[in-house]
Amino acid sequence: MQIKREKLKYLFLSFIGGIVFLVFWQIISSLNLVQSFFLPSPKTVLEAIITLFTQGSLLGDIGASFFRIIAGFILSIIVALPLGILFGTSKKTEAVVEPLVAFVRYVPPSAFIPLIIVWFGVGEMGKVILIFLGVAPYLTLLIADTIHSVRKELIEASLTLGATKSDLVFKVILPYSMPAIWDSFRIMFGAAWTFVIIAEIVGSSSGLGHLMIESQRFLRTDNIFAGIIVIGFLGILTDYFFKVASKMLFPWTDKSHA
Amino acid sequence: MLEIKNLTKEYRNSKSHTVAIQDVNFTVQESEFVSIIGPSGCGKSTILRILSGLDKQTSGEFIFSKDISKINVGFVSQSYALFPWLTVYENIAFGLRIKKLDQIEIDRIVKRYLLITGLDKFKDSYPKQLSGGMQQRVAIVRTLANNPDIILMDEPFGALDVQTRSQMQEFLVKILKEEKKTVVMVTHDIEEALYLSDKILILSTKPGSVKEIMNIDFSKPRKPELKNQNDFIETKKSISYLLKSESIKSTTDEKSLISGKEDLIIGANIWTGIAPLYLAKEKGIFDKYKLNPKIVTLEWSDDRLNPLREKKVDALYTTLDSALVEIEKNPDMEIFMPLDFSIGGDAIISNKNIKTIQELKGKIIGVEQGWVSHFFLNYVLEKNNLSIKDVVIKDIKASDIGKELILDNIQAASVQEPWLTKIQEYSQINTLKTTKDFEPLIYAVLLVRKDVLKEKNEYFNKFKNAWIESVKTLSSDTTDSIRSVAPYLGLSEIELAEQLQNIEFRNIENGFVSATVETRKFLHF
Repeated sequence: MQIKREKLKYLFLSFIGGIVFLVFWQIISSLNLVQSFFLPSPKTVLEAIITLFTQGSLLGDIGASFFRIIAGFILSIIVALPLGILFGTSKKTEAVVEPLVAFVRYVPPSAFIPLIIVWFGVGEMGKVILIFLGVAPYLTLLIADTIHSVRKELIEASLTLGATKSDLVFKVILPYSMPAIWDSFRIMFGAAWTFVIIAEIVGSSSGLGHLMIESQRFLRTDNIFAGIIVIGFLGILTDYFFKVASKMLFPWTDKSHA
Repeated sequence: MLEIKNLTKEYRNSKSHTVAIQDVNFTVQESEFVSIIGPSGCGKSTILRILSGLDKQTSGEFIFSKDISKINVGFVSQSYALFPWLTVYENIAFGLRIKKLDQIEIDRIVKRYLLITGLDKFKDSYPKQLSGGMQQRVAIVRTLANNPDIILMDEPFGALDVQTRSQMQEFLVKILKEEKKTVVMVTHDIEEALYLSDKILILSTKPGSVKEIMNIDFSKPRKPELKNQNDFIETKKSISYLLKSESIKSTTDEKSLISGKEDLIIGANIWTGIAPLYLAKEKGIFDKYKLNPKIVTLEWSDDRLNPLREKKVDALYTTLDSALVEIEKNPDMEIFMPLDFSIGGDAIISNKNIKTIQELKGKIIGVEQGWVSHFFLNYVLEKNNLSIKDVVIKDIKASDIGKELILDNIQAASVQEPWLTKIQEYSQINTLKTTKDFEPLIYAVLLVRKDVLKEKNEYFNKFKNAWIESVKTLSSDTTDSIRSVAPYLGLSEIELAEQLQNIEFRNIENGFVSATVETRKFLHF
């Protein structure tokens, strides 16, 4: 009960925070301190969102962005998961591949854009590749780190119970690390949003990034704001999805309530 | 079924080289329960890790009577190590699934063990939902379900509270009654070891090796009431003493003060009277006099004065009798100053049946030959119109005298602090005579080579002042002094305070001359 009350209190305060921000915004625009062209009022932005939803391409844009993120993300997982496990369990593999991964990690993904356009054009493939380049190296290292931190006594216990090397990976290390790996997914999914927007701003005919760059061309500041707010909400929603899913998938962790 | 031969484990890296265990030998019989106890850091767990295959020995071997490839070793650790993502049921089934048994067989085995643990209600719970005791029960049956030939347990109940601990012991007794298993358990709980074991191994430390093997004959099955029986309590006390003497030895060895820039090396034997030396170091008194002596603890050489003769030490903290004997043979030596005298710190003790010095006639008496305890025995005997020839002398290191007395290998002994108080505490012995019963006699002195004394005359004078100041600090600020010195002597604060009652540091010049005269009379025996 105590926990529930705490949670409600937290939610209430967050809500108040949001309201205060909106009121402040409304006051600034009502007082005409800034031209409405630069800062449209909350009401205008809300109307823009509704219009974009009902008459514009917003749903399609969201779908397009989501599709790219998910494609890039799945590709990243397919590569990063086995690689991270290899890194985490074999020093040799780590020594061979780590420098390369670290190198790619330090180059900002946007620096690859010219090359990606030359190689893959401005189609879907290029965008997925950009997300992949931004997400996979980090994800690999996060997974490797998680694998490293498996409690030694669990490994020893399974060895004395007769576990082989592959048992160790698939029956101990992986199941134990899954919640932390899932958490890494959550964090990197946020990063994937950044890259999809960049990719769509650079060159695209659909997606939220495209919506915003188009709005800039037509000086529709209200639509730009609408795009930002929609992206923010989608971010919160996906984050929430990962958290809830984690509780359902891994009921055995200390964080989740039995 | 298991024979351990000369098992040795060393850890080496570029900076250090530690010998964790050295030449450990013992055997384990089929369905025997063997406990290993010893002071912390004696390599108890190392032995188990090697036996379980988690670690590799540096040398030596262990041989199972069966074919080694078929030996199935079970391991239970203090931290339970349950798999948190698996339910209680699946945790128990873990080893069986790895063996790829069919589901019906797995279910049969797991259900049987769930019943034994009394946790079938919790079979679908995760480990985090269980209490510590419940988790360890699951860990134990998880190991048992794998049907091991031998079970190794590393402090299995160490993390549990007292109440749960004894419940778990009962649980273990119950299981082992149903399934005859061979068990080797490491524990620091003497009562637990006594209650469960057929055999107890007591390890010594630095490096760990088997000090004593005790067979425990209390009939089985044992009931908790056993813990209140007199013979149980007596045995428990004697094991406590053995462990205590090991830990005193190990701390004094490792706490030798080394700073690298010593200007004088003082050799000292394990004797509570060296407390002011450590105090002077600890409280900066030596620093104040710009002295930086190093104190090294010496023990168990055949001749305790050798380090001084061989110039390994510059000065030796020794007893008056040994100093006088040495000077007689070796005129290059000189007593620089007396340091303390014993007022009860040395004693003649005996088992329950002997009540007077007269009764010592013909008995086996443990002493460290040629050492102060030997001298004191001679003195006491002669004062009682007996001679050393009337008794049978057995030469035993001071640290082992208590053990021999407890094990009934000797009937009486002459021994000094820090061992004396501990023996008195842990076993039922009679204290026949102590130095308190006589005029001041047993002095500790600083024996120095004459050439060193001449060369460092000024140094030694400063040392004398520092010593006097340290002794003053000890008596004026006793509580604080004891706190800072006790760790160096391997004693608790209470123990040190108690032992210091038996040693006098002040006004020691007064009786020194007559003590010297008196001592000379009893030197030749």
